[in-house]
Amino acid sequence: MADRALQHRRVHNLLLIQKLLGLRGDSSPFTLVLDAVEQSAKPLIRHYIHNAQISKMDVVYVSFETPKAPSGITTFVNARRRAAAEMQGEIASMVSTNKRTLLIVDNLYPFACNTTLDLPSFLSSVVTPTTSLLAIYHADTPLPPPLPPNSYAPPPLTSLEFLATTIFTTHSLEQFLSCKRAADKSLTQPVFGLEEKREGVIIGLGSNDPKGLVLEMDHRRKSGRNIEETFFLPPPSSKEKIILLEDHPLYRRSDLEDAKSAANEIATELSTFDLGITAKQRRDREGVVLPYFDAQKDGWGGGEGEDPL
Amino acid sequence: MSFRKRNIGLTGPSSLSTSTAQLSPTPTPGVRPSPLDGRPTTSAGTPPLDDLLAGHAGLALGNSLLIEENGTTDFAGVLLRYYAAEGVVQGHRVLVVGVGRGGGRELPGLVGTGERMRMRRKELTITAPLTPNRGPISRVKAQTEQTTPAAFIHNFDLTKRLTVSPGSIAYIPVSHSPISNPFSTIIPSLTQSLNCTPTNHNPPPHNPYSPSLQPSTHPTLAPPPISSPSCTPLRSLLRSHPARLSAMLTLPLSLHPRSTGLVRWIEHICDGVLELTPFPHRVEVEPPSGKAGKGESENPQGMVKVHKLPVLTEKGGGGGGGGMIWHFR
Amino acid sequence: MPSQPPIPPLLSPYLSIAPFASLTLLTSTLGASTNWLVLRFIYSALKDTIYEKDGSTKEHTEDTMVVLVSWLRDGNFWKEGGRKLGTNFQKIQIVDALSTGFGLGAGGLAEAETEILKAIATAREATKENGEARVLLVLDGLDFLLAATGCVTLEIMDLVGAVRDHVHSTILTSSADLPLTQSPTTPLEISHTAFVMGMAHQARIIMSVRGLDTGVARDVSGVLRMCRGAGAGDEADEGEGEVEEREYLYLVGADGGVRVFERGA
Repeated sequence: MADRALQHRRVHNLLLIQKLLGLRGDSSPFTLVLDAVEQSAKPLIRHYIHNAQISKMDVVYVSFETPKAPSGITTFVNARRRAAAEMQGEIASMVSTNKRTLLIVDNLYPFACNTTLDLPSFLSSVVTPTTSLLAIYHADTPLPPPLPPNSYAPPPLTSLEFLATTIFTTHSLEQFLSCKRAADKSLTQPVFGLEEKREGVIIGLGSNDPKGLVLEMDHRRKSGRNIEETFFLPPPSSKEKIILLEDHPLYRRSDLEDAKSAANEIATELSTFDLGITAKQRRDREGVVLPYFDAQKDGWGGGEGEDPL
Repeated sequence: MSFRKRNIGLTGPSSLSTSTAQLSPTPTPGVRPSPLDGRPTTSAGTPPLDDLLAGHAGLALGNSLLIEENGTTDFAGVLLRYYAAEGVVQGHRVLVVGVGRGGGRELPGLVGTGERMRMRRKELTITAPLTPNRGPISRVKAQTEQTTPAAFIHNFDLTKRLTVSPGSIAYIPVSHSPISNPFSTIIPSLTQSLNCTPTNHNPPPHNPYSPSLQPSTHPTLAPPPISSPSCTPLRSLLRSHPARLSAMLTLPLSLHPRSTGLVRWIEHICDGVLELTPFPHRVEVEPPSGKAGKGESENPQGMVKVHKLPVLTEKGGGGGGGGMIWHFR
Repeated sequence: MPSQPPIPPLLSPYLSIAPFASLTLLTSTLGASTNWLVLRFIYSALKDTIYEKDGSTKEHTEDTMVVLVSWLRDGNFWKEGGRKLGTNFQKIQIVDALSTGFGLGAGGLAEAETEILKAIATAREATKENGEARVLLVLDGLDFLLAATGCVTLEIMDLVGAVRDHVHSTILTSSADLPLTQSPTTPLEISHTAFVMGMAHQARIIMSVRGLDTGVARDVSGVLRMCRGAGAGDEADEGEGEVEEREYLYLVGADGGVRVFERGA
């Protein structure tokens, strides 16, 4: 019974992620991607662009930090040093009501810094029934502290997370696996990058592996209830498809490996443990009568000093 | 003052003879070429401090040294006084910031005359024993005795006082208001004094800046837009007069700990950074044995940590140094 | 004459000309500076040969010019260092922002930007007869400008974005000391962390130098860590070459020569 539910969940989630990435229907009007230097969201964005091309959707790329237009997009908008109102107008002019558009914002930091801008209403205004928004937020770039009128307002990230219909968080595969291995053995979690708290280290080893990344999904359905799942996303250039992280060979191997290695350790310990006792000594050992042996046999009560005979 | 090595961290001092002082065609008193690469260096005030400076045996001109201190003691101020006194004795133009006019009266007295050979020892404790019986020799007299060969460093005794003729030290008061930029007064007067010194003598001014002596100047360090750019003109001034200017600054770490970004930027701007951590004072320690010269092996008074060294760190060499014990008499 | 080759062999694959529109981030700490690394980047860019990963070399097809802007070190420092390596200074435009104070005065960041763009244009002009020049921009100590002017991080990042548009590739240095990146509380710390991490998100490769974790050693100056930055994903389409992640030790000699070696070597 539990197995069937598990199977159902796996299939359902895999279908869901494929639907989200494929931009089928109006599955997610606002997709928020939280990334860190250890794993950039750029490969995920490339997946989206690729799928949008296949579905013959327009792709509008609003760039704050990308100097070169990625391949496959329709319009590249340089948003540096431009007012939010101006951006709003320009985006509105680029989207058309009859064709579906994917609007990508490569960094929400400039919008979040803008204290005069009401971020939720700004973003809601650009999302239309035919326009889906895909925005990246760098989770490790701190915002300037809010000034008095806004000190009580929820921080921009909180508002964004509340508003988004899907939240993706990216992780580096290698680092994710080493955290899992440590958690399995109840060891301290390894830390990477800034959290290493070492002078001069801002990014951890094992970052941005071109072979793929770990994607944590938090999807909110129309009812508001959410579905969470972790996937492994291969690079856009490879022919592989997205899979559940549990199905990834390295993830499973780490479980099996631990079990196997533990068994191996015990086996080797036993086989090498050898006191070097001769056969005669073993027989004598068998014949040793331990004190109070009779007392144990008959179940008599206490009396340590009592002579059983 | 002496420093004793605890861990190996730096190249040791090289032996120096007075012949190196004669390499430069017009020797400026108190300046000599560094044994490493020949750049002009001046004494940082005390021989052990000179030896700490990565083999240059002195503070390279055009560089600044920041001395940070943990706790409320003022050993850094003492080092500053040695530096200033050395400058006065050498005839350099000394600019002192943050100390009132009375500060000049607190400079250590001069002891011993003439040239001084630096000897190579295994340890860094090199100070020759001071003889307290000699009184302070007035500055004017000391100048005439040093015709040839020029002495690089002199011995000082803190219990004595240096007689300073007016005009050799200039004082720049630091305003106490939290908004004004203290360096706005320092830099112009520094530039002015650099510009109006006669060209044939070229005395290098020393510039001890010690906010620690004026506790109320600390609010001026607080807002970063004021203090960080204030140090920049100092750095650019030092670089534009690479053979004439050197500076020493002090900073109390208890008020501005090293864990803050502001202090870290100040450290980035200065070329050398030393951190002094005095040990807590223990009353029951036995007084040192009566023999002069032997007493300095006991009674360590604190640790010195080297974070950054002039010239060496900029080249890329390791700047950190192991903790070293230092004594003070 | 330094006893070591100007470019340590282990380092050469990383010094080859970066792909178009890429950003290389070099971070340093108080006790470990990146000056030697910057000098070698410049030297390598101006040499006629490119070092490939497999050890072979090929000729530069385009003319390269370097624009070096520094807010922490003056022109003489760079010239002296470059001379020891044998760098061709004819092809370098040095903007000595330390002496002139570009960006720190009343002109603000706009002044700094104008000066940088002027230098880039001059560098381009200089090789007009050979065709379009490839300009490598090196910004040294830009984080200092951020600290000194107290401006908003976004403004500095816009400045970087604006000048990046005009050059082939950019190298940027920044400090990554603990007080400046850990638990930022003061505005200075927050804006510095935001700047470094923001640049790291745009960088193709992040090379960090730091002192030894265990203290000080006589034969090692520090640790050099090379990581793939978040911007590395951009040129996967073009196959410009992956960045291999590594951590090496290095030693800077008294003569300025640098030796890069592996741990335990």
